[in-house]
Amino acid sequence: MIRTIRKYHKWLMAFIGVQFLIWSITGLYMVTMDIHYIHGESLQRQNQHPIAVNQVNYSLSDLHSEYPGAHQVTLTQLMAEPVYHFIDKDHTQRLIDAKTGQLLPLIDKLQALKIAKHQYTSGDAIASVQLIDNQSQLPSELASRHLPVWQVVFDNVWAPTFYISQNSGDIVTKRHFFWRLFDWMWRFHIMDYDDGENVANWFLLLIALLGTLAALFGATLTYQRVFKPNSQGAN
Amino acid sequence: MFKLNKSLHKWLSLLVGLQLIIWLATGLYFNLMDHKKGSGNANLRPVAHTAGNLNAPLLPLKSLEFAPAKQVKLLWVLGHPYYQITHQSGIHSYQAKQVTLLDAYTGQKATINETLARTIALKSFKGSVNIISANLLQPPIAELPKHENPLWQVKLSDTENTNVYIDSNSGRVIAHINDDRRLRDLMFTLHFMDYFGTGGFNHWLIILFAIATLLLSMTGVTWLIERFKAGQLSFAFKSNKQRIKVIELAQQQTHELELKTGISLFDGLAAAGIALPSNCGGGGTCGLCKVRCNENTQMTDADKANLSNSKLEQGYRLACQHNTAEVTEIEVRSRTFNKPKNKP
Ligand code: FES
Repeated sequence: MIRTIRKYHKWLMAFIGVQFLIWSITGLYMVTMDIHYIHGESLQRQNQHPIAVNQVNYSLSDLHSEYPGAHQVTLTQLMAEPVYHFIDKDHTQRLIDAKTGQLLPLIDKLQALKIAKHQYTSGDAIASVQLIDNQSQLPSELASRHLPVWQVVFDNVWAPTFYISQNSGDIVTKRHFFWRLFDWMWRFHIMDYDDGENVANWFLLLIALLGTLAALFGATLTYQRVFKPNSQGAN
Repeated sequence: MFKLNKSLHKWLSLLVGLQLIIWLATGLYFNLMDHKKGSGNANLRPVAHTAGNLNAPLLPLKSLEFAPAKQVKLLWVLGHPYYQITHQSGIHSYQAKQVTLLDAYTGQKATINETLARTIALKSFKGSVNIISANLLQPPIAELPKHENPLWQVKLSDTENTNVYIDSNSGRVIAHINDDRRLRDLMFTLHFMDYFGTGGFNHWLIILFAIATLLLSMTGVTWLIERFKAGQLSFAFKSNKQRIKVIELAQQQTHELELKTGISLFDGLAAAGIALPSNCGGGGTCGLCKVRCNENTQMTDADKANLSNSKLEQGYRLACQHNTAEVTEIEVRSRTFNKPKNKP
């Protein structure tokens, strides 16, 4: 009995043991790396200055009468200046100077660079800046709902990258080596080797089923060796 | 050296075995589950908050008194406008926030009160239900351990036992937690070993187990490599036969056997009906399966670890650590001795 179980444990693991090694390595990476660090929270400086409310001459009532369908209206700041950000009734995002009520143009390259430098916590220079405004340029790490964005890459071995919305000037997402690596780890963990999104794939199902069987056989062997070390008939 | 590998494999498996099986079983659950149901959102529907028109002018922010703000949002709650003034917040919405709500028509301080919470809860639910209770909970909140802000919990009377959680700073529905969602959350707790309710997976217990599991996998792979080198993981389909003369000491009988090659002597003899004593079932750790071969037969690490020098010199070896092809004549003392099946 034990002999047969040992044989199956060995042969099953000969086929799927590598995935156990992958699960262990990727799992260890994911639990040891602090998720907030992975998400690049240490790359971006939190805005410490409060909004200069006394400079807000253009009121929300003004905004409402000028842009009747406006929704999700927020007073925030862009480079320390108070601005309104909202979605107009034609679903486009708008940015308005809260001091004057003037409609602000899309964030240009210079502004994007300024925002990036202003919010980045380290002093690295900027390695590249690029406008991404259509689906065909979309990198896999960016969701299409964020378009159009400025991609600003800093000159650092870990390639920290900010994605700055051209509409709002917000850093909509960021990436760095350890996050990108984390995504790969996740992909290998759930065994989704095409797009890395789908936990419900048959390959994982198959290997996990065989893996459970192999682990149960292993548990039997351990039980035998630890708790029944003196029985001799366990052939 | 290899003995250490084996005993590490054993003790590590004892340490993490149960959790390893939990990881596999919950992993299978995630693979097979209905994600829509598991999210708890099966009965969730959006709540319309925005009103088309203003009933009165919005008070200018300049005219209001409030603490320094990093963001002011025009927040609509069930058709009424408020200024949601955020003084302090983290990157994620679940992190602790300092927020003031002011009525945008009157400038009065406002809160998401019980009446609002109850109405929002009912509106967020597809189908008609009754409210069992509504309570403002302070963090930590058992069903949403990550959340660091006070939340309204509105218990509904549906068969799924839905609890609607509403952010007390904004009136937004944070989650519908029903029985499907509870099952999923339990699976996450088990998979993340979050037995102390941290709400995440970056904690010392799982890190410790992850290290132990990595070592378990590594010792396992090492063991497989060792078996492969010893010729006991041969993928060859056709195997040859090895003629072996077996002298059975207990019964004082001699047999000529033809055993398959590419397997261990232990397995080969078992296939022929000769069961050697064993506890480990061929793992090379119990030392019970010894047989006497030619003294010149190569010694493996497991032989040296389990047999005394004098036994080794007399030619004793562990049958599970040698291939059938290595021997031509052996002496065995078997536990059971069925009639050998393949007498020539
Ligand atoms: S069967 Fe246990 S050492 Fe050979």
